[in-house]
Amino acid sequence: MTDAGRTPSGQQTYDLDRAHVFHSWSAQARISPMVVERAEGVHLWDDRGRRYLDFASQMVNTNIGHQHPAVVAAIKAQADRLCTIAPQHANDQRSRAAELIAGLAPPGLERVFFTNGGAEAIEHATRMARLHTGRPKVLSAYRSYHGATSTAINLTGDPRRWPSDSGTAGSCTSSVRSSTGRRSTRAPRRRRPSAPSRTWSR
Amino acid sequence: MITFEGPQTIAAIVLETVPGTAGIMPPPPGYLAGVRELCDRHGIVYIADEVMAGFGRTGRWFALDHWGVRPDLIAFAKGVNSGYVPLGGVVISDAIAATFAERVYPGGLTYSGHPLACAAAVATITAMREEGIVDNADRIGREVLGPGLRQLAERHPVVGDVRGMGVFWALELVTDRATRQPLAPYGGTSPAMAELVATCMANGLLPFVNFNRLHVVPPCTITEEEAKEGLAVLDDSLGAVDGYYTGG
Repeated sequence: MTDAGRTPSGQQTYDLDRAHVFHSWSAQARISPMVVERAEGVHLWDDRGRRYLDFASQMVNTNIGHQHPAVVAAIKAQADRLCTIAPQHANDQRSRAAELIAGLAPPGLERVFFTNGGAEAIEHATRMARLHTGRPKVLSAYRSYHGATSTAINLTGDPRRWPSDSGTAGSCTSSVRSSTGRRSTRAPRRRRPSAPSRTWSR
Repeated sequence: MITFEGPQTIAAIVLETVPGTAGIMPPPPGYLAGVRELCDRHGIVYIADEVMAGFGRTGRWFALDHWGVRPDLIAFAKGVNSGYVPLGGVVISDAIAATFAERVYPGGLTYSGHPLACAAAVATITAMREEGIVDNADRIGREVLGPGLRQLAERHPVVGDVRGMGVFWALELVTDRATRQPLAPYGGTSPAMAELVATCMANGLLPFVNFNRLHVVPPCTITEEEAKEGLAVLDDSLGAVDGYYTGG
């Protein structure tokens, strides 16, 4: 697809994207990604020079806005000092980040295990809970989302779980999900519409 | 359900403190305290998923702070460094940490605690603190987005419900307020929702939609003027789909 409104570099970005990039949560032939040239604060600009107010914070993650100068400077400074280091070593930025994050959490939660993102955080939280208790099951809610990795998507209570719903294999329950299929059907629990209903996963 | 399942078989309850993409539903008062109590009674680990709701999104550092509950594990990501470099993690209670004091924790990642990501987190948390960004999100929610979105609901019958806090809001769009018939089916989209998105984009606003819902989730740094500019675009864009309303 060519588009007279695009810059040549924007067109190249778009063409290469369509030729080589496989996008998440998408039918690949049905999408037409916006080429983003730059972003600042609450705004971003496409390759046609059009400005957009970002009322999505991308995927609800740019809480501090785009290109915050202090964060950009910190990344640049760290890149000059030490780009990467294995997890078994101690590192000043890791130590300080863990202290700051634990300081924001309620008292009695003092340690941080770092992952690359939210789904892995759920994977590890679940693993820690199972090992700590020695128990197998995890209770989650309808109308929830916990990530797209295997455990996290099976804890998720929305349609994004369905194509990957191995946690319910063999089961037939109305409000309870299990991977064993051994449990009997029972009636869904009634709740207020705005409150999450409960589902099970393991 | 815990009784029926056997409390001794349940390791954890995992809940988004405020469910996010699935609808932005702040829990009713006492709900999370009840979860905590159930977990305590049965020795179940309470995992709070603060991935989307954490780090200022609800106008508090953690959404948990609104209700004063203490989970055993907190999963976080996203706002911890705004995704400038990928980072997530788990904040761990002393009791669970003690389980792995002399016993190996069987898990890890090559990039666990990546220095670029952690440097970004340190700078992000510091800047958010120094610049009052969490308080800004709280104020924008109470004074601008909350009232502004409720005004949109008065002007546009397709807005069936307005929920949220901070910079974390959802509009439930319906074709009939009495039946709450959604503007798009559960798990799907509709011409009306596509039109809504196209109108927002044409008017210079990047929206977040999920099924029949429009989520209003700007950065915590948004100013009152910028928020009002966005509300004006939403007003126009909702006007473009008012025709789909079939209720009385």
